[in-house]
Order: sequence, then C-alpha cells, then structure tokens
Amino acid sequence: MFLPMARIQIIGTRRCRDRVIQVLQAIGSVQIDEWTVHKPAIHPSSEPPVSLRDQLAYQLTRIEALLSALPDVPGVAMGDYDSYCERPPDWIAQQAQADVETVAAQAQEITKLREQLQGRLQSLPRYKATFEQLVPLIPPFLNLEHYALAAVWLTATHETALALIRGQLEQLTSGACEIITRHVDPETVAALLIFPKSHAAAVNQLLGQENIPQIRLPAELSTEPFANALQRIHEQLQSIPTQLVQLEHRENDLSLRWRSRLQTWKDVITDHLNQIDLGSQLGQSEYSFRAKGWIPANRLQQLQSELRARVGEEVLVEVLPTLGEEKKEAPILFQHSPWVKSFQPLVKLLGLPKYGSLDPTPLMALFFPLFFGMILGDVGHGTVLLAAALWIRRRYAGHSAVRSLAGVVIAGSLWGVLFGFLYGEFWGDLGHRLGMRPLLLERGKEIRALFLLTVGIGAGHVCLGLGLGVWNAVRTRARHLLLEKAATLISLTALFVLLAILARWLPKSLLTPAWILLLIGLVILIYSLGKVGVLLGPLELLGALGNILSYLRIAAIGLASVYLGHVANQLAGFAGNIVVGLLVATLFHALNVTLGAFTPAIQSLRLQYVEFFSKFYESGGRPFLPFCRSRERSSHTIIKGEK
Amino acid sequence: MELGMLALATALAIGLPAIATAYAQANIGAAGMGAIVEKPEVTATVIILVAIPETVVILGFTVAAMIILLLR
Repeated sequence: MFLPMARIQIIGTRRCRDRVIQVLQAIGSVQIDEWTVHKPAIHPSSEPPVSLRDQLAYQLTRIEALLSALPDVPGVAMGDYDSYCERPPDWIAQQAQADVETVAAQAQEITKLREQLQGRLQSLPRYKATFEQLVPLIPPFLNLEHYALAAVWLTATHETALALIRGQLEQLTSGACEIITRHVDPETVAALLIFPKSHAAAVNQLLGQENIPQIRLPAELSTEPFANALQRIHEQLQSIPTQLVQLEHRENDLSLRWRSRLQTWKDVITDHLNQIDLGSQLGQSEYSFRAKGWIPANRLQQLQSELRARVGEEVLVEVLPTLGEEKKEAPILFQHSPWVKSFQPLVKLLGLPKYGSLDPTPLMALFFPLFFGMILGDVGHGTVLLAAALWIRRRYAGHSAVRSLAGVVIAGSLWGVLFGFLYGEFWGDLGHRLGMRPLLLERGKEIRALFLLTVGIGAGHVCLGLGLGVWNAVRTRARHLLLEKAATLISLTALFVLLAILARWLPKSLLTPAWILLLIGLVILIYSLGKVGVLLGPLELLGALGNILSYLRIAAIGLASVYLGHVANQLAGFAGNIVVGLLVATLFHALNVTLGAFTPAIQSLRLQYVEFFSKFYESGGRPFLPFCRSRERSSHTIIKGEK
Repeated sequence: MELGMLALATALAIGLPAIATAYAQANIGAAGMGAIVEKPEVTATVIILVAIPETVVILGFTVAAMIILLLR
C-alpha cells in the first residue's frame, strides 16, 4: 500500500528561511515542490548567494577530483558529518579549502614523482641498450676534459649521410674529430661523434640542421661520462620499482588519513549547495517566504514540533486540502513487508502507479511467483533454483537490487517445488520412475486437464483484474471506465455460463438468461466506448477472451520443459554407460534449469503486465524524493526509522 | 494418409505462427532496443511489445495440441 501523504505549506519570516531549510534537510521527510508564481507579492527568490555557491561548487569539484585520484582504501570514518551540517556555508568553504590544499599538494607531489619514475622506467631501457652499444666504441685514452661526445642512431638506409656529416664535422673542427660507427642490428647504425668541447655548440647546430636526432642522456646524467652513465642507468633501473612501491604506500597512507574526511566534505558541501538551490526555488517576498510540498501524514506532527523547537514561532506549517487531480499528484512512497518489497522493481518497470490508485505490488507478489511455479513445476529444478537464489541473496546481501531479484526467484522456486509435487515431477519423469505420483495431474499426459486448469486460472485472473478495474473506477469516479470494465466483466461471465451449458456443467434452462446477460454486457460496452463503440466493443470482448486464452502459455511452456526433461532421461538411458548417461542427463537438465529460470519469469511477467495490469493499472505516479541530506538520499523511498 | 495429413496440419499449426511470431519479434525487438538506448524508462513497454506476438504462437500450439488430442 501507499503511505498516506499530506500536502503542506510552510510559511515563515524571511530571516528564518535558511534555518528552516537546514532543519527540513536534517529531518529529510518533506518533498518540496518548485514554487510557481501565482501572485505578484510572492516570487521565487532571485538573489542566491552566487559567489558563495561558486566557492562551494569549486571546492566540490576539487574534492571529487581528489577522491577519484586517491586509491579507495577503507579509512577511518569521520564522525563530524552531523556537526558540520549545522555550520554556516562560508565556514565550510574555508575549512574544506584548507584541507583540499593540504591533500592536493601531497597528492600532486606523489603524482609528479610517479610520472617521473614511470617515464624513466620506460626510457632508461632504451638508453641502456644504446649505451651498451656505444660505450665499447669510446677510445680508452680519450681525454673527456677536452673532448665532447655526441651519439646518434641512423637507420641503415641513411648510413650514407654519415659521410656527409663526417665531411662537415672535419671542416668545423679542422680535422680534430672522429666518428666511430657500429651496426646495432641489420636495420640500425650507432655512431659516436668525438670532437673538441669548444665546438660543441657548432656540432649541435649542424646535427639540428641535418635533422639528425642525438641520443641525449637524462638531465641528471648529462654531465657523466658515458661509462659512468651506463652504470647509473643500471642502478636506477633496479631502484625505480622499489621507489614506485614506496610511493604507492605513501599514497595509500594519504588516502587512509584523508579519504573519509574528503568524503565528509563532499557530502556536507553537496548538502549546502542543495540548501542554496532550494532557497532560490522558494516563493518569497520582502519579509516572508513560502514553500509547498508533500510529507507522509504520519510525519507531519514531528515536522511541526521539530520546526517549533529548532526555529521558533516564526515559521508555520499548515496542511492544505487536496482535491481531485491534485491528490493524484502526490508522490508515491510504498509501505510493504520485506517479502512484498522484493517485487517493487517489477512494478516500477512499468512506471509508478498513481497516488490514490490501486497498489499492484502485493498482487504481483502473489501471482508472479504462482505462475512462475506453475510453469516450472519440477521439484528438482525448483530446489536447484531455490538453493542458487538463497546463496545469491546471502552472497550479495549489500546489493538491494540483487537481493530483491533473489527474493523473487526464491518465491517462484518455492511455488515450483510445490507444483512439482502436484504434477509429480522430479527431474522430468525421473520422479515417476522412482515411484513419485502426482497429487493433482500429470502434465505430460493429462494435457486436456492442464489446458482447462490454465484457462480457468486465466479466466479468474482476468476477471479479478476487471473487478479491480471496476473498484478503481468507482474510487476515482471514472464513469466511462466503470461502465467499460463492468460491461466486459458481465459479458465474460455470460460467455462462461454459455460455455458451461455447452459442456453440460450447467442446466440448459440458463441458456436464455445467459444470452440476455451477454447482450446487456455488449450494449453497455458499446455505449461506454463512445462513437466507435460498435466497432471497438466486440473487439474489446474478443481481446479479453484472447487474454484468457493467453494463459495457455503456462501449459505450453511447462510442457516444453516436461518433454525436455523426458528427452534428457531417455538419452541418459540410451547411453549404455552410467557415467556417460549421467553426463548427458546433467547437461540436458542443466539446460532445462537455465531455461526454467528465465522463460517462466518472462512469461509470468508478461501475464501480469499485459493480461492483468491492463485491466486496472494506472501508471504515471512520481517517486517520493524528500529534501534530505546526501548521506540519506540513497534510502529516499524509505524514510528514516520507517519500515 | 489421413494420419499423415493430420500430422502435417499439426506441424503447420505450430510452425507457421512460430515463424510469424519470430518475424514480428525480430522487428519489434530491434526497434525496442533502439528505443531503450534513447529512453531506458520504456524498458517495460518494450518487453510488453515484444511479448505480445507470442500469443499467436500460443494459440497455434493450442490448435496443434487439439489436433493431437483428436488423434488419440
């Protein structure tokens, strides 16, 4: 069922507006509607504190960036959230900024160091390979005080360019130079240029002009002789992984110390931004403000007393009367037992029902697993699904969506086990071979009875839907809808009586009353559908009949599963070897169980949506989204302390 | 001969609606997926639309089953 909602108006003096907003957020049980201007005296606030909002938004962006950069290690939860929520926003902005600066500086340093180390880890092996080739080329007698070295790599196809460089280098240095080359591999030639230090700038210019890239050492090694540099490269390559691990530890430590604090700032700032935004959406004049919204009726008194206690007499909460269409605009807050709650996602898939209409969730919780079980109808399959669902429910206890889904499967598989006993099925016909007997009917053989059962259940289900449609129409005073649903129900009842007379279950004396009833039903149906009723009326009735026949899918899909089970057991018998037989049977039954998890769910869901809900369901409701603190927003459909 | 014809009728009764349903579902499914990508809130509507043609094959199955029951 839906929790009853009350339409409220909050009126207060302008000076207590911010405090009221703060208290409303702390209580977290009022959904505030955006103010629409009705009277010239009350306008949505046009003066949000832009600069403060920008400051908070800027800090929030920085905090989010830091949170995404820091590793997600479980930290010590900070218990200051509630007290920070009461602080003024400028204090929040200052404190958050100070913390962000501290963390950002450390995080940036770590990031910079890591990037440097990772860059070196990538580049140093290239230097190492190069210098391992070049160092043996350096003459041992070379005096590095007077001579400079430049190393270049050329592709073998450009080797001829070396002669050109040699000529120009000799010209530059008046012959006081040497070029030593070595083939690194068939594709590459390494060359070492030796020349007086006084010509270093000219040589660099020459290589630049000829577009020949030099192999330059990292800055900190650039002053080292090549042989020493090679030794240093070896050392660095060995030490960098350790340094990276140390950095990781440092980063984890930083995250451990700051993450939960940053998360708290994020939540607190988000809350304050929401307060500022709400403040700009309220209607207000020079001295007062007004807000309209919805609250669960059972929380109204608490809201009034809290506002009185924490704000004073300058604010007033009054209940507004809700009439007609306005009542239907109330947000939806379900109140279900945990069992029925599992089926809420299936109803929400169709869109929330309108406030004041019928809540179909308990009906979904009853009929969905019933039809699921009727289709599945096997003790073995049901037990496997039940075990799997129980395990999933326990394994993913923290995921509400998975828990709900598991709850649905648990209910369905329980019905599956029950119908397994009613049909006498255990892993197909294995139960029958072991002496198990059906308590109701044997699906594989008593097809006619199975058809009658499913069509009978379909007739009952569709008529229940129509009955609920009539009830809904009476409640909402929708005359045409009432006539349409009632006429369809009357016509269907007349048709059932006629069919029962044909089957000789009822006396022939009822034939004339049944025809008259059918005629009355059709006439009302045609009248209720307006000008095109003559065409649509019979079609509507045929549609309802088609809906009932559609329940034959319960028999059809179930029979497919029965026959697949038979095939599995027969093939296992043909194998002639117990191991191969077991393997074949397991394979086929596994396929059957997998299909048994999905197909009955889809078919049962379709029966609810198309055949049943279409008779009474009124979608278009909106969820209850109270104005609350961000740490409570995840449970917005359930108010604090409420089941 | 008559038995053979009845068997053929049974196969056609289930086979032809199955082909028709598959054709309809292929088109509805493809269009539905496109719609879901644009508007995820229409998921339930698409499920319903995809499931609607299945009634045809269920009715075909019923007719086929009736023929088989006649054969017994």
